[in-house]
Amino acid sequence: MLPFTGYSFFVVAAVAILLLYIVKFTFKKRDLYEYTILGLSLIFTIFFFPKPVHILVFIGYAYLMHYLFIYKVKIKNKLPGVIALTLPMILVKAFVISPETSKISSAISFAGLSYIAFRIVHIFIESTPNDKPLNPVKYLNFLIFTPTVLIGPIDRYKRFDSDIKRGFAGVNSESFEAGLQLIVFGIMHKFILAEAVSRYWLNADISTSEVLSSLNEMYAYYFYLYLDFAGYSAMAIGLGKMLGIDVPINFNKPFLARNPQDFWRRFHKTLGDFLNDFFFKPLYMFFSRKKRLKKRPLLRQNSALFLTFLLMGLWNGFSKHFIISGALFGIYSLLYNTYVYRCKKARKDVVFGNMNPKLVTVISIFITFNITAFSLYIFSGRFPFL
Amino acid sequence: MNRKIDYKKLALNIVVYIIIIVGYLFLYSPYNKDNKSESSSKTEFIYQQF
Repeated sequence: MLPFTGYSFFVVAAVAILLLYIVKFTFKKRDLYEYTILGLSLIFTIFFFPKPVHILVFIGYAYLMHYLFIYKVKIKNKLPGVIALTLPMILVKAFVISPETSKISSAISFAGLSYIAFRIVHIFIESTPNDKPLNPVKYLNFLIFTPTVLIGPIDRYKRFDSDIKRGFAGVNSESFEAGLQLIVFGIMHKFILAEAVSRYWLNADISTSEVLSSLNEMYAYYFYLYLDFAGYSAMAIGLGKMLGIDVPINFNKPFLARNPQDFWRRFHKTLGDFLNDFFFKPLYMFFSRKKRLKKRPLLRQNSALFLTFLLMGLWNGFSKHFIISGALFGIYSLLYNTYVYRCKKARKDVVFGNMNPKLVTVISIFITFNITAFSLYIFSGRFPFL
Repeated sequence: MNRKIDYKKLALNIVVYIIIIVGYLFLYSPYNKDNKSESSSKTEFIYQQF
């Protein structure tokens, strides 16, 4: 059973919340909160989540690699450690391409692998040999926390740990009410609106030309993905709140994004933040150290931007639709970055000139909406001309 | 202590619950010929991609 995909999950979640409240009012011990959350997540992982052994073995492997590279090898360059940590995911994505090796891929793969990989990498990059050794209980608790285990939102270890440290203080009537509201909102998005879009728009047979049919499918997929994913995220945040953890928000009206950067602050925001902190910034720093690029800030920024989104595409998988979709997001970002750079240099809007700002906003939203819908359509693998 | 009623929030909640109830009765009714169990597998496919 995957989180938030059927009625049975909500029954399990209700029992988990009830148990948490029973522990809170029976024992009244702050330290018990951490172990209760871990216990509940472990019960779900072992008895309900598909392939529990895979997920636990992978976390064990990640912890071992983390310990080895941070406290034993102690090299400044984090790349070998990142490669070691993501090796199982790289193998899964590489094997899935060929039909002969896809069986190996499905044998070692498990749901949520990419998301757990995101989180183990960020803990690794942020750790130094001077830090206290990573607590395995906290590590496991963070990685298997049920509401976010499958597809995020991508939480941060230190933020999650600060919620854990406050104990049962976060488990109260206000957080319960706010959480319930978010879950109801998520149910409406995912099970009603996304399902309706899927049945009566995305998968409806419309006998028009291939181009018009693709265009229709492109918009339908964008709305479907948003409703499904935003609904899932709202439920994850809601259940997190009920369990006393403030999971970060993931969506904020992405259809109103004015440019590619703004889009990643609104659509799957936690991924956007992750890409900025752990892909873009290190790449930009790397290019800044190159002599040839020192006097070319725009080229440095654009190279880092393009590679960031290309890596994002590769992270999803090595299929051409993921790579092209990532590259397209990279091209949009570097074009927008060049536009902002030129505007700053010329001290005027080099594209829209003195056009009415409201009209500029409307045009920007229209362009961003369509180009992002196109990239996500390619990402879906449904684009017929590829 | 009297709690102030937030009418905007109340109205939004009523709309959300109506959408859920009507949507559920329509989409998941056994009489709806489009009510197939392919939805969850399709969702899983999307999640595998991320």
